[in-house]
Amino acid sequence: MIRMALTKGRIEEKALEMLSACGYDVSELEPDRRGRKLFFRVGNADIEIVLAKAADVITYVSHGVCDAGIVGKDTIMESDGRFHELLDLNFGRCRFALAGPAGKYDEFRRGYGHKIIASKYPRVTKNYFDSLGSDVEIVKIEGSVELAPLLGLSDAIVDIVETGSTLKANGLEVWEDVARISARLIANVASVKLKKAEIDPLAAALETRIED
Amino acid sequence: MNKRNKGVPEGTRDIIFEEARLRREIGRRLENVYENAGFDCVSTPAVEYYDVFDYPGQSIGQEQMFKLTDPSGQLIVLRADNTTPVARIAATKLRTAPLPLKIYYTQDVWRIEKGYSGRRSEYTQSGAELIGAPGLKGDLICLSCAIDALASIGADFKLELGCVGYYSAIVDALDLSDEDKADVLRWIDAKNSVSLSGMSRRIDDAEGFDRVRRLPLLYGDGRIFREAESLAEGNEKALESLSYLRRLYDAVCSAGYAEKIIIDLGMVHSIDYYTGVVFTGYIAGAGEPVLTGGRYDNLISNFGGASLPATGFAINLALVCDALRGYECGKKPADMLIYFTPDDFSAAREYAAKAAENGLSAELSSAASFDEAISEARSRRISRAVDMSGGRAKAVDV
Repeated sequence: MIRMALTKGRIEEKALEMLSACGYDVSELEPDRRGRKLFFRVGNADIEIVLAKAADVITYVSHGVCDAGIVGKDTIMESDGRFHELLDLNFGRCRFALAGPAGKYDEFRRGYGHKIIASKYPRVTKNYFDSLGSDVEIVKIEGSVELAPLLGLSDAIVDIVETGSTLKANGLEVWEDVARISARLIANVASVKLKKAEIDPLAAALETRIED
Repeated sequence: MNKRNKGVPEGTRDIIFEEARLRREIGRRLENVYENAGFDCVSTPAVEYYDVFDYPGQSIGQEQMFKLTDPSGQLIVLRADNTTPVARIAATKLRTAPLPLKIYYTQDVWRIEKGYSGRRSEYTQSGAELIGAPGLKGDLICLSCAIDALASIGADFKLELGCVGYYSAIVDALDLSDEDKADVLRWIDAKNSVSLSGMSRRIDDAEGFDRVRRLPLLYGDGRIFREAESLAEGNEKALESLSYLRRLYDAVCSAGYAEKIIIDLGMVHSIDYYTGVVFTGYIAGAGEPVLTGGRYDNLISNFGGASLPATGFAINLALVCDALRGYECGKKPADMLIYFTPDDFSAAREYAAKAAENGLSAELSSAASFDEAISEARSRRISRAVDMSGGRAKAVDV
């Protein structure tokens, strides 16, 4: 038996679609059949599914209480877990971007002054600026990060951007792309070895359903 | 000020009764295996000079070590790894000892882990090092000990073999910057085909990189050798490493362990003092490897003296014990509880000694009266209470 954790919400919907397209019977997870259950059986395979918040998917898989998981690259980049990233499932696509007030990019890059960056993703932000060799001060924001530069707290933000319309509506624009994001299939390091016979077919089946 | 006098620091824990017994029991089983294989034990200080852990290729980050200063101002660290101090001893105090050296240890290591990750910063490792035994025979002796050690734990296990020579020859065939190479190795180890594919876009040698991209998938049973051979076609160094591993694999399989051995040619150990065959052990119930080891022929020369071929492994006892949780290892109640007064202390001891001769355990009670001793015996499931007051034994079944 393998246990798989799916990230609740949009990733879960699309992942179930994919699993279903692969021939797995995931009817137990249909909204009207869920009830208050936490564990779901795949009807025609020895797979159990649990639903969890994105960061918890990584925690469960890292600790091996779940063998595999489907989670966004954004959460993976912000996390510190140890697991194998097996597949880019190529849905749930968006990107991490550095954004700031429209028209101020040159000013941002020109000056030697101290830069303050607001983000919900301090680790992603730190790794990005480290890779550029620039040191910045990072302020962690929990809610709408767009507010931080507007209020004058930060010079720029690092955030997930889908269409860019929220940025535009607030007078901000994308300055630099930081990383591409999409849903990934991850697996526990021991499970990959000890349950190869069960995980390989699952990964192979999902791989055939990846859309461009 | 918030006084922290009731808890323990992040990443550490008190290990109480059953858990402590289990750890000791597993530790003993492993030590029996090492002893039977002719290994002898050492114990090294809990603190070492920082410089001991500061050598090329050492990959436990400075930020992962607990640091202190000694009275003369030297930087010292809590033992971050066991193989390194053993190598230090081999190069210094044991440099004139006859080879091969067979050394085992059961002692703690300390590495700082991030908070709330469920990982420990302090845990016990039990391991064995074989120093001065080169090549296939040395590797076989070490593997044989690792297999027996894993088997002695009692859970279903798998031992996985890989070798540094194979993947490095394939990665070295590409002209990568040191930085890119480090990324590539990290991704191979993490089986992160996704990131490797991402990198392939900016590598000129498309064919060469395609080989690298397939490295993470080269794991499984003996059938993987054929695929690995075709992948390394034309790369003499890689093929040579592969055929060495194949000989080792065949030898271990012929000893009846085919079911237990898996091959992973994309296994890159995070501690990069390894130079040859590397291995990793898994047991059912543990979400990460419980055993890591391999050949480290260049480590010992870092501490002066000659370079010595060496191979060894360490088992993380904390992970093993977590995987065995629920395993019955509780303390059995004593056979009898002896009530005594200070006047008949000597008689009570004599009685207990006599009981021990007959294979029965007897425990002295601190109760204030015999009645109290009886209820103590009841609450602790001891089936017999003995009243020694007055120097004569009166036994009562409770």
